[in-house]
Amino acid sequence: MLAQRLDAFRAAFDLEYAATLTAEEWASVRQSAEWHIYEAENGDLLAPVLAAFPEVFNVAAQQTTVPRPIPEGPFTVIGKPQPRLHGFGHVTGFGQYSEHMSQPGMVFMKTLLSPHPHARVRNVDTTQAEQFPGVVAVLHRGSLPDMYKDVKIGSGPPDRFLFSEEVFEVGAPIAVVAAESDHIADEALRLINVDYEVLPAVLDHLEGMKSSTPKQWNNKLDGTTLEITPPKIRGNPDEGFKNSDVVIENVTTRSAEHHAALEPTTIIAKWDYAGDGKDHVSIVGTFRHAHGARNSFAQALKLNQSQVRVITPGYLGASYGSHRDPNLLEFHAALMAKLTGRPVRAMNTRAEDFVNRTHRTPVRNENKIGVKRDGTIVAFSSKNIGDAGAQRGGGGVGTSAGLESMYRIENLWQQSITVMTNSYKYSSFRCTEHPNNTLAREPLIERAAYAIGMNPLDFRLMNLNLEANQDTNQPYNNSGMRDVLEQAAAKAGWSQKWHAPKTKEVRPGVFHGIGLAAHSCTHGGGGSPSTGTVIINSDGTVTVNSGAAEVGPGERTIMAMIASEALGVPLSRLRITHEVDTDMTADTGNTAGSRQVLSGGWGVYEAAQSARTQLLDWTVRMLVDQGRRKTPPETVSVKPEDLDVGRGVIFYKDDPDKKVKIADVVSFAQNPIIGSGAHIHETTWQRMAWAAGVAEIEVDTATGSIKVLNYVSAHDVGRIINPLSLKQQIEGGAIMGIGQALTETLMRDKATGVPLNPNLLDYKLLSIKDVPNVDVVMVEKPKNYGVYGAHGIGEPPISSAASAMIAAVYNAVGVWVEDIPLTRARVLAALKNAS
Amino acid sequence: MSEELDPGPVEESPQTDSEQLRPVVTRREFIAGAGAGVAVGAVVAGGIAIATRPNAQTQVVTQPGGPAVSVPAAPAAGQPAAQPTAQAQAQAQPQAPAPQQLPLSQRRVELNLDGVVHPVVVDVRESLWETMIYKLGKSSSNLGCDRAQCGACTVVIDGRAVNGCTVLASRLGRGQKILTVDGIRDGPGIAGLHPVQKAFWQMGGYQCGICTRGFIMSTYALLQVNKSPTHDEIAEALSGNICRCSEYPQIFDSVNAAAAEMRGEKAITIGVAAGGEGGSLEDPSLAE
Repeated sequence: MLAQRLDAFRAAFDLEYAATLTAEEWASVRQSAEWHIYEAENGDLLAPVLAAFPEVFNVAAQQTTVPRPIPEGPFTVIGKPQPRLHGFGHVTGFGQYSEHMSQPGMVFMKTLLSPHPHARVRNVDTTQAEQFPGVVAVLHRGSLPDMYKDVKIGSGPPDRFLFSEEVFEVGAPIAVVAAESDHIADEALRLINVDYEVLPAVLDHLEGMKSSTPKQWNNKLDGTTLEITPPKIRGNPDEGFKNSDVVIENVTTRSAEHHAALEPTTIIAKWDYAGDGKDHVSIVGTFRHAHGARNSFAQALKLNQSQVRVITPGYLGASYGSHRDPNLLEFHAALMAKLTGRPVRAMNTRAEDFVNRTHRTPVRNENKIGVKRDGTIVAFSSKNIGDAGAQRGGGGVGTSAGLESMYRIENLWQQSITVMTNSYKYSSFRCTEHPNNTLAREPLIERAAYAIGMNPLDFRLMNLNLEANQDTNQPYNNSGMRDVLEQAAAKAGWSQKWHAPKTKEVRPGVFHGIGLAAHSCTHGGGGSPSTGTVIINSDGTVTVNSGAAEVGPGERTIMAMIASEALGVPLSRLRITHEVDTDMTADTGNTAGSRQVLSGGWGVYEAAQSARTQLLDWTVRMLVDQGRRKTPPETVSVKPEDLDVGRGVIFYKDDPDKKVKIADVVSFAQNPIIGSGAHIHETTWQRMAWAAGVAEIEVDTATGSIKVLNYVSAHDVGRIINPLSLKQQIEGGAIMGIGQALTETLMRDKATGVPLNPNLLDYKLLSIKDVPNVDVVMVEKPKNYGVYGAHGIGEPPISSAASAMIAAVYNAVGVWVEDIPLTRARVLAALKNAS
Repeated sequence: MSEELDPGPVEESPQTDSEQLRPVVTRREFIAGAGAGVAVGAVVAGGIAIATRPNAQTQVVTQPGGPAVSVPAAPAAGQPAAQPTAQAQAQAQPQAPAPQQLPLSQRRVELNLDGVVHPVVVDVRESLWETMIYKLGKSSSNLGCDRAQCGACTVVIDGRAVNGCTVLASRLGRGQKILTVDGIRDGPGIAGLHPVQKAFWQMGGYQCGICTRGFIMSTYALLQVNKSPTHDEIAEALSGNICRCSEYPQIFDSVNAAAAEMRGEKAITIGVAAGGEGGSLEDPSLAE
């Protein structure tokens, strides 16, 4: 075991640090939960590290240049709307979420949080709390066992420990109390006296960049700046702008947004010594990657992976890319389980989830575009400043990677600046940097189109780049971007409804507007690990085994559908558990980055193919054996290629009524048939998601209100596997994106940094009364790399709405409001400035 | 608020010397005070710690929407004499209570839950949700916010949809009939599902499902009184339920499908693959 926990973030994004790692250290880093997340969600940003250490990453060994044939229809199972296989549990009381679970003797843990955004913890006095009736244990930095004092969490500097002497955010944990009930633990928290030395805090990323801002660690850069990337340059941007007919600049911004996944983060931990007396902890909780969580616990608690068992229930109240990954709450609960000898349950309050979990980063994009009057884009520049919050970034903060795709841009300049603040921690929110790349680019594309008098749809279509990544030349695969744009526009009635800005007053002071945005994303193509197991039981039914965590959109149902289709056994005779148990499944990676259909999916697909091959081999042996046992003996000559499996039976291809029962074959084989899959992803193509959104709105110039009349969300989905869950993902993501564009913003007090709206009343989600109609358009352009040709869908739906709304507002009232959310105050201020 | 849910007299907040790193209005006070019409700013109720340092002799109150204000400890006119806090009580009476006598922080109630009466001892601070899950071992109601803001915990009490997180178990047990998703079924398995349950499942009126039990109960309450709700009436009735997955389009479809079956128009059948009866996807010879 390694002496010190390694910094996976720096290994991924800091080449200097990466160069210091030994082979053993690399192995440990690549097993970490964080590394899995970077692979899933920041894959394109990992490219430099992957290229710099080929001996570590063996990329060449994985490459195959043989194009994979895409299965043709007609299909039996996939492509048909399938309600959730575990739905009975959702609509009755049978399905248990983590919040329902308990263990005999369980204690409840609650955390005392820092009220200051930046402070030194001078003293923690827990004597009164420890004596409070019903309190079982109290833990803080002073009482932490020595062996855990050097455990660092996340990346640094600045460093965070299990309990830190210097805290960098409101909500940092100071002490934890385990008691017989939540209420008692709650009361005991009030008896803890803490002496804080309040330190100056940085609450704004632009402030943090200044040289006058006090540093909070030995920072080589100004203030609390974490990173300034060397500019990415393509061609000659200065020349490009000089040669442009029209040059336009804008600034787009976005505030912090929160996932608000409705199940509060929950964990139950039991230090159960696994029967052999050695340290072992069993954990149930709201994790989106059970195996990743296992790795995190092992590293934080100085165990090896076999000493940790993690179970993620399939009844889990959503993720949306939020880090349903272990952090301090979970590590404290596990430690408490060890120290108290009792199972420990910790559940965040809603306010704690708002503050302590991760968020979408606030960003500021300073953009410039140069175009010719004929519509050619000549040059583009974008400087993106992102707020990482109280941590050393989550990778991709504020970056605008993605300007290499969508449009042909000969001359490009792009730079990202990431700043730490003593505030909301950034990480993915239904994507990482791609929603921001869309926000950095699309409103400026609209501005350019209007400036040269071109229809924004036509302007985009003429500049599309659908062949390859312009910087790496890695080709795209059967891109559906053109179809997506055209079909989105058609569905929205674009050609009839688009008009010049501020020309359609539908009621006094109320104007109609329509706006378009296009989106591309490097997520959805899946990646390693990609595993699965398919077991054919002695009665011919099938058990599917997958490590793909269910976070809400129906991943487990899709795994089952893929296995069912690939094996030929109907869903009514095939079962998959709802939960993932690290002791019972192989790792198939994070349910994040829109990857699971192509990760877990390829795993079960190959497992099903393996099971099918074995089944048909055994069938031949059985038929031959049956022939030999006849009187007189018969020589049966049949080959596996003569047979097929479908609708739960084996049959002869040239005589489908001649059937063999699966149960008979398994019985003959004397063993259940076990098919396993471990898919190697080829690297020929850059796997891209393509999407577009059209927003049709009314703007009331008296109040600044925006009413969304209709929203079209169009996507290249590769192949539709479950049309029901696909429609759900798209409309759900679109509505989420619209809500964020209109009403969602995390606020904090400018002076004290105290969160102002960490609750579901004041952080305004769209309610059922606000929801507009959403039209879903699915374009099928099957991918060679996709299981059945599919491409992932989880993230793309959220990204277009903000930019489409900005465009629609301009079309309605002739002003550019480019700060998300588009509040009434902002719309009114823009109207006032214009007049 | 109906009389059955009237929470009774207001208690003092606990008095301590230490820095009070919690909102100065306790949840119980907030819930109790809500009945008396006291408005408390959402920032205080929903926020993280706001440090105050009350004097041991003072009673801390909040002005509506404002910060904590300390006033002298004389009880206000009309208020009952101060009750000792649970902590003071426990410290004053170290012996275990006599079998029939519970400490003031506990109350014995009989809860009529899904048609079954459960005698249970509850902490006076316990919400119905906490009692159902922690004491009765149920999983038929979900928690989203514990602050009556999201509706995930919606159950039906005497025909009305209420937030189980904000109803105190100690105020029930007077014959109120509590219904959860397990109480609206009329038998085991798929055959026993209520039309609303079948609809949400078959139509996909959910994704992660954490809001679903609450939506089902709100829908149930609506359809009991209105079997032909318009789009706006559905939205109004369900406006207390948040679906963060934003699956509102299919929620409307689910409500309409359930209403249609309850009007006797079209029965919902659960799809074959999900475990329903018969089906064309399976080979008929398997039936042998």
